[in-house]
Amino acid sequence: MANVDYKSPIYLQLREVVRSKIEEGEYPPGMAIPSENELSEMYGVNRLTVRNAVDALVNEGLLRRIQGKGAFVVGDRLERDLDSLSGFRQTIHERNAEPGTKVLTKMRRKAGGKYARIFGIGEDDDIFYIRRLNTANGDPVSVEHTFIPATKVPKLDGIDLGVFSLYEVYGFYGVSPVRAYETLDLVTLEARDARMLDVDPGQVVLLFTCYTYDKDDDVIEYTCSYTRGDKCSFTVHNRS
Amino acid sequence: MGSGTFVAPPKFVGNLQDVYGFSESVRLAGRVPGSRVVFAVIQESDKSISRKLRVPLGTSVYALRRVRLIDGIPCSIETVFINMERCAGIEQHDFSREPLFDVLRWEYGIKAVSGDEKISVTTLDADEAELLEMEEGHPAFYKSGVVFDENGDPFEYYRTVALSEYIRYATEMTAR
Repeated sequence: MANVDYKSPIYLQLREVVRSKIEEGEYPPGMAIPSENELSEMYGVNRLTVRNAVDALVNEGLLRRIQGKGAFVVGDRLERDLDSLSGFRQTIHERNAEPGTKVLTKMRRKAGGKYARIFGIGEDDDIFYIRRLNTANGDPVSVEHTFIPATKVPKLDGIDLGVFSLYEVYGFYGVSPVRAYETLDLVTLEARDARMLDVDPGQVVLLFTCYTYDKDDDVIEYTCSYTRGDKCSFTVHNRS
Repeated sequence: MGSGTFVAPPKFVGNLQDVYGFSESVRLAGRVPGSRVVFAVIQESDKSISRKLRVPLGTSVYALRRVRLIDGIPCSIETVFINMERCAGIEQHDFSREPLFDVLRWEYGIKAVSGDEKISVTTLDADEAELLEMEEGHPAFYKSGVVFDENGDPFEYYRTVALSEYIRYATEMTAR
């Protein structure tokens, strides 16, 4: 990318414009950049030129393109990923099942008593609530309820969780999970979640609960996942 | 609900990364562990046990099934299969009183250093229901796994059925 100037091919010049807007935060991580049409209009260049400029940044890993949605800014990655460490790992029984996730709810709300206690914040402080349905070959496997204090990831409203995982979003905002405490219980589902999971109300499912902590020992995420026992099991690998 | 209110004791949290056996973990939680031996026999390994312990079919294994109690309440049924080549004479012990973990560690020098566990949901069959004083068909955890020594050799394979009313499984992960 050395020395792009006014004589350089126009797509290279546009590439550098977009790059500097990403670096300066005008296009923040997790957000979509303007569409190809918009960029084409803004700079008076044709769409093929825009496409070439964006392609170059996608190849560099600075942008992620999602079919039908646009190009999204990829921020810093977490160096350490708790996912790669020991802990419960969900295993779907069916072989070669294609996993899928559908975000059912994503909202900002007041913490209220229970979550104020969990996160050590005020009852009137904001948290994000995300409810997702995880599927295997289109069949429901688990319903996952995730709670995150808004102070930790203030821009979560604008981020499409179909594009970035929560772990990626944490990385963008410098939130670094260092510890997680997970438990497994057996519980029966309330009617709404039972319907969502396509099981009979009263059927027992695995409840996976996870508290994730950052370096200040604050809880940054609280997750409850109701998982069908006929579809999956959990495995743990231990090494002392 | 509907049958009155009672205070349930807190669940025992079985930390899956514990380096202790069941008895010691329960004691550390300030509770009283107990064991009833259902059977303790020397048998020939079948295909499934042979695979887990990586021994030829028909190898002598010590099969021990115990009901585990916490504060006198039957909470789980644990069946272990141990490669007899590693612990000749183990059948002399009374495992309703002695922790298996301690006997393996201190008498046979077998140190558990790693393991793979799998947890899923099952329902109690008639025998399990009777041992756990529950209805047949009652849902329970099914946990199975293999324990390896410091050389990476498997020496124990276990299958546990546990009541979620009394036991919760936990792990803690930390970034390196």
